[in-house]
Amino acid sequence: MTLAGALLYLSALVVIGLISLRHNKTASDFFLAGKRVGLVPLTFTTMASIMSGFVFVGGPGLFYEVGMGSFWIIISSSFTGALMCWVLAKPLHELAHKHGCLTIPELIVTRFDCRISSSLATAAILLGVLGYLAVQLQALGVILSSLLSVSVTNAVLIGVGFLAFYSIAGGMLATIYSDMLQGVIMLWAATLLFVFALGSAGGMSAISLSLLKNQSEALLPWGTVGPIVCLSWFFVFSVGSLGQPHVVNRFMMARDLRVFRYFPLILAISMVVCGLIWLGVGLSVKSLVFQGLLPPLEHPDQAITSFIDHFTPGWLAALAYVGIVAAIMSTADSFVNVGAAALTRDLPRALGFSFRNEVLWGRVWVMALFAAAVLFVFQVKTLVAYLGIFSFGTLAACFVPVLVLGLNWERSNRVSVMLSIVTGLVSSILLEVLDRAGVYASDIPPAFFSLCASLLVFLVVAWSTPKQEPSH
Amino acid sequence: MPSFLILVSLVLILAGCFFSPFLLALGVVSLIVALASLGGAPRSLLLLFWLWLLAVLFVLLLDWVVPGAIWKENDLVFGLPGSTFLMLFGVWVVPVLILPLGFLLTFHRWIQR
Repeated sequence: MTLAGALLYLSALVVIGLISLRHNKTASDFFLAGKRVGLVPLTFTTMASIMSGFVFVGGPGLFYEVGMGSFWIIISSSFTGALMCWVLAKPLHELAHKHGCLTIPELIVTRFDCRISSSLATAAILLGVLGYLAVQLQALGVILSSLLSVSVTNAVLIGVGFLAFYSIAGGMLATIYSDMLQGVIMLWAATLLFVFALGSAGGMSAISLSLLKNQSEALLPWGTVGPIVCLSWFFVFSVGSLGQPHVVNRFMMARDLRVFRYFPLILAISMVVCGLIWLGVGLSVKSLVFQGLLPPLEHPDQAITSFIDHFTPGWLAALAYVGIVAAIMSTADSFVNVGAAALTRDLPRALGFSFRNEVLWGRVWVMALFAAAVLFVFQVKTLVAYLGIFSFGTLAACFVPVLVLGLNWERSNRVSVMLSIVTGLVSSILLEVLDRAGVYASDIPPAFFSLCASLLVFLVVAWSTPKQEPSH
Repeated sequence: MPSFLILVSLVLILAGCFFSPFLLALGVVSLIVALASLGGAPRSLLLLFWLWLLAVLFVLLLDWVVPGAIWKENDLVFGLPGSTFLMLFGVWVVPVLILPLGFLLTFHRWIQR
């Protein structure tokens, strides 16, 4: 039944790719779905692109490792949609619709008339996209290998094959159609898995008692990592969500501003529902291991698959696996679209030329990005959640100051934009290298300091240099 | 004014991560509010959000500093320890009723701005 469900879902993606194929005539169609997206598709595509393999696979894995403290990563998802609407919706929508911008680096050129900042933004996008795409493919490999009974390598290649097909054929329109399908599946999968997870471990009270008896701090708000680390995650993921290009570019696609009226509320509710999978599976797997009903996991990222394989009936296992694959694919397709847009429009312009047939080149770059991510994923041995935190943090450090302060604060200027992106990029890479080398001896994610540094640099430079009127 | 608040919040955040989680919590919540204020969110909503979130975080931190001061670990609320229930209810669920619902209720003011 699981295999049949997977094949049905993958076939639907192929159909979506074929249907969307003929609607991609211009770069605006391919990269921003023609900027005609309404409330329901906009909400689903935003939710599906945020809720990724990081949440569905990495989340329960991280819960298994550090307990309830891991939930601070996702806890702000209930209000960040409203934050994004207040801070970003209007300026991004206006720059996209009145000035024809299709990418974040184009927004920067249009607002600040600065090619260097735009090029730096392109570099940051490509770095973040490659890292995050690798996270998604790594998670996809783990899940599809269980689902199709093939090796992880083959599973990655099969998953990428389907992803590449509909992303190349249908561009952003296929992404949105598929995100709607994937969003519905994810919501059902998260809800049902939450209910089954609690039931399998004997209910919430039984879970709590077993955790309190064996490892009480795992159940308490700050987990095994303590409040400083938890609050640093809360900071990085609440504020950092304002700087994720694959999410904020949804504001450029909206048909008009009235679409945003119910957007934050529906988004918040759907994010809370999706978050149940992190909480439910995380809690119950840890408890089931303590109760002796599940063998200890070899790797924390196996939490979700281990639970599904041991405790769910066939129909729910099928839905759950398809839901997880949907979560992973819906984020991967958004990232690859953003990356392809940067390579098709921003990189050539930084080098002084432009492609004549941007739709064709968009498709070529989608393929190239998937190939690069596949090569990268086979080199990566890190926990899914930690690689996700690095990529998220890099994009946050580079884009939160530029988008939030740059588009809303009258003192912002091209120097502050340029130096904050440089600070975000350099500090993210440097701290990550130090972390890998064992020199950075802290549990606080490096992204925390990168984001603080880039925001501080933006503020200080903007105050100490003349303000710049919008160039558009 | 919001930009000055952002600077103060960042200083609190950086000081907090080395010296005190209370400062860190104060900085993070203030930063979120300052950023929303920069985007024109209604001040009454932001004040409500700031007070609520900060109160919840401070109670959680107090319970961590002095274990059992507010709840005993084994006293369960809806099957969860009191502090864990407060975390989920106060930081995850209630904010939906403040910011996203607040955005919906003040939408006309936002679109005319």
